[in-house]
Amino acid sequence: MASQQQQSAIKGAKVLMVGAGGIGCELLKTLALSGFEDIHIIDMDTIEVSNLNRQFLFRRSHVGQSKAKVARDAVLRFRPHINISSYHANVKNPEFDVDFFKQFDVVLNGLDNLDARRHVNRLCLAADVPLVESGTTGFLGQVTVHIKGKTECYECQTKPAPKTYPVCTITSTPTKFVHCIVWAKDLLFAKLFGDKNQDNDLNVRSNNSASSSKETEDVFERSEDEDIEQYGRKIYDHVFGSNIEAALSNEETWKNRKRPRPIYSKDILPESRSQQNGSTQNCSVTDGDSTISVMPSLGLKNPQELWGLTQNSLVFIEALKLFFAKRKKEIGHLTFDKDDQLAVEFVTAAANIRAESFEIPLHSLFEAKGIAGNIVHAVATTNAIIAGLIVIEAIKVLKKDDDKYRMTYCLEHPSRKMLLMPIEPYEPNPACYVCSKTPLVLEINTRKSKLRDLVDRIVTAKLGMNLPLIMHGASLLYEVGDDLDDIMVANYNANLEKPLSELPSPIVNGSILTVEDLQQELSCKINVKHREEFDDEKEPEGMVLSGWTQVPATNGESASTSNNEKPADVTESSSGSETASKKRRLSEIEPSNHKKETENVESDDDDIMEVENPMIVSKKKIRVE
Amino acid sequence: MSTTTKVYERRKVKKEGAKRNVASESAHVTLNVKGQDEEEVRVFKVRRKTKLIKLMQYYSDMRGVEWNTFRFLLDGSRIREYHTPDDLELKDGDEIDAMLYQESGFGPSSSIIFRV
Repeated sequence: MASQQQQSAIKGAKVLMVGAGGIGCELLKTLALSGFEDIHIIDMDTIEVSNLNRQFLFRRSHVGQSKAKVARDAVLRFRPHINISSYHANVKNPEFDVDFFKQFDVVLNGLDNLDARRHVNRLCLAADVPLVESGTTGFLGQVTVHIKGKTECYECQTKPAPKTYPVCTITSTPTKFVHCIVWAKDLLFAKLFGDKNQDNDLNVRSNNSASSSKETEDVFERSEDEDIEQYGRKIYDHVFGSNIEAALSNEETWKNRKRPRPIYSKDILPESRSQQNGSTQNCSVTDGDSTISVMPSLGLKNPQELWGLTQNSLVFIEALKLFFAKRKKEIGHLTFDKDDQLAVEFVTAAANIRAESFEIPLHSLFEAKGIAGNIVHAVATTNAIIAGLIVIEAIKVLKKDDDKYRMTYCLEHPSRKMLLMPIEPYEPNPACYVCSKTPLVLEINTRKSKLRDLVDRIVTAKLGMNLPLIMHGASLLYEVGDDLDDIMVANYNANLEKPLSELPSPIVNGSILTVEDLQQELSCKINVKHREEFDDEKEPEGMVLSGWTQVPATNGESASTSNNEKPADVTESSSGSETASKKRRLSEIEPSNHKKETENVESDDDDIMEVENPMIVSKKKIRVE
Repeated sequence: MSTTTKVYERRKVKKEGAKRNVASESAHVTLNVKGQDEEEVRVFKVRRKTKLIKLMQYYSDMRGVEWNTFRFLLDGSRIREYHTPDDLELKDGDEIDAMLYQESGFGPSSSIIFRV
C-alpha cells in the first residue's frame, strides 16, 4: 500500500511513543503493522481490570504488570523481528532529557493529562524533534502536529483548564447539581471522614458570631458513646437545616436568588430505623471495605433509579452509620474515591438532599457517580481512529511533506457529511511564552502572597514546570533538585513562607522574575505588578497571570500585552495560491477599529441573541453574561 | 484539489451569489454554531460589528464551560477573538464549528479554589 518512498522513510525511522494505554495500544499495533521497525515506549502505569475492554494488547493475567512491557511483548508476537524498547517510568524523569529525545525522528503522544503533555512539548522543542499530539474522550478526539518554528507548539494555544468553582457558589449559592456534588464530596465527606486538620469551608457564613461558629465546630465531633443514629441525625439537621437557616438570615444573598428551604430529619424520617428493625447488622456486608453498601438493605437495587427525598435521607443516615460501624479505622483518613461504593452512596444522597433544598433537579446514583468521579466512558473505536491518524501524520513528518500536515478533529456527529475534519496547522503564536519567549505579567498582592503561593499556583500549576528555579536579578530565591545541600534547602524552605515583599531580594511592583526549568530548557520572564484586591468569584486564587493570548480583555481588566495595532486592512486576495491566501486572510484580519475600549463599554443587550427557531426571529433580548 | 481549496471555491461561489441578491443591510447576521459533540445546531443573531469573542463566550457559557474550551472554526479556518462578522464577510446562515480539545483520561475535573 505504501509507496516506495514512504516505505523507506518508515523503515529507517526511530520513533518514541509516550503512553501505552488506550491510544498507545492502538498506536503500537498500527505502527508495527505499517512497517515501523524501531519503536520506543514510555509508560509509568500498570495494567488495571478497567483497561481490558479497549487496551487490547493486555489480558486479565497481565493485571498489575507494566503497560509498556506487556504491550511490547504482545506486538512482538506478531512482528517478532522489529525492535521495541519499553520503559516502565515517568516521562518526566531526568533520564529522559534533551539528549534522549534527540535520538528520535518523531515523538508520538498517547497521554491522558496536560501536565505530561506540556513537559514532552518542551523537551521536543529543546531537542528540535517533531511532535504528533493526540487526545480522545468518548467519541471525540483530535490529532495535531507540532514542528518547531513551522507550526504552533502544543502550548501556543491555551488548553482548557479544569473547571473550578468559587467557594461561595459551593457553600452558599449552588445553582447546578454539580455544585451539590462538589459540596458533598469536597466539603461534607471531607469534614466527616477526611483529615481533621484540613481547612474546611463547610461552615462559611456571612453573618458570623464567634460563639455560633465555635458551636458548629463541636457538632462534627462525635463522642465515644454517642449513638450513631443520633449523631447522623444531628449532622443531617445541622447541614440541611440550621446551616440553611443561618444562610437565609442574610437578606443580601437572596435578593435576586431563589431561597433554599431548610430540611430537618424529623420531618422526613419520623422514626429512627434502629428503633424499627434492629441494628445496623442487617446491612449487607461483603468482603473488602469498598463493597460495603447500604442500597440492598433499603431495597434499592437499580443505580439508575431516581431516589426521592425520603430515600436519599435514609441512604444518608444509613451510610453514615455504616462508616462508623464497619469502617471506623478509616475515618479521619478517607478521601472520596469513585470506586468506593459506600462513599458514592453517601455523596449521592447528600448532594440530592442539598439539591432538593435549593430546588435543583435530583440525580440517580449512576449519574452522581459519573459527575463526582469525572467519568467519561472511553470508546475503543475513537482510539483506533486517532491512532490511525497519528501514523498518517507521522509518515508525513518523516517524509517532510510540510504542506500536508493537518490538525484533524474527530466528530461525533457528521458536519457536512464528514466525521473527520482536517485543518491546516497554525503558525507559531508570537506571544507564546514557551516557544517564543514572550514575557508574562503577574498581578499579585506582593505584601500578602507568599513565595509558596507563587510556586504552587503559577510556576508548577500554570507554567507546568517540573524542577523550577526562581531568580530575581542575581538572587536565587528558590530551586528544586537532587544536588542541593541542607543549608540551601533550609534557606529555600524559609523563603517559601515569606510574603514576596519580604524576601531577601524583595519582590515588589515592577520586579522582573526569571523562572526556569533546566530539564525542559524553558526560561520565562515574569513582570510583577502589585495589586491590592482580587475578586473572590472571578479571581479566587488571588493572582492573575496574563500575556500569552491575544484576547481583548473582558470585564475591563488590563488588556494583554501582545495585541497588534496595525490599521484594519481587509483586502480581497484574488491571486496566488488559494489555500495559503485563505488561511492568511483570516489570520491577518486585524481588529476593525482602534477603539477597543469604547466597544467594550458600549456593549449592548443586542450584541448577541440566541434564536429559538431559525424561522422565527426572536425579539426577546438575552443579556450577554 | 485539497480540502481547503474546495472550501475556498465554495465560499467564493456563495459570496458571488449573495452579491447578486439584494444584500440585506441589517445590523445583525444570523449564525449557526454546531458543537463537535452535539447534533443540534444553535442559532444566534450577532451584530455585524461585534467581535466574535462575545459569541464564543456566550456559547461557552451556555454549554457550561470556560470560553477557551471550544475552538471556533469557519470552513476549517480558525476564527480569531477579534474577528467580527463583517471582517469575515459572514452571511445569514453561515455555520461555525465549535471544536473541543480532548484530553483523554477522565472528563473535565472540578475543584474548589480557596482564597489566599
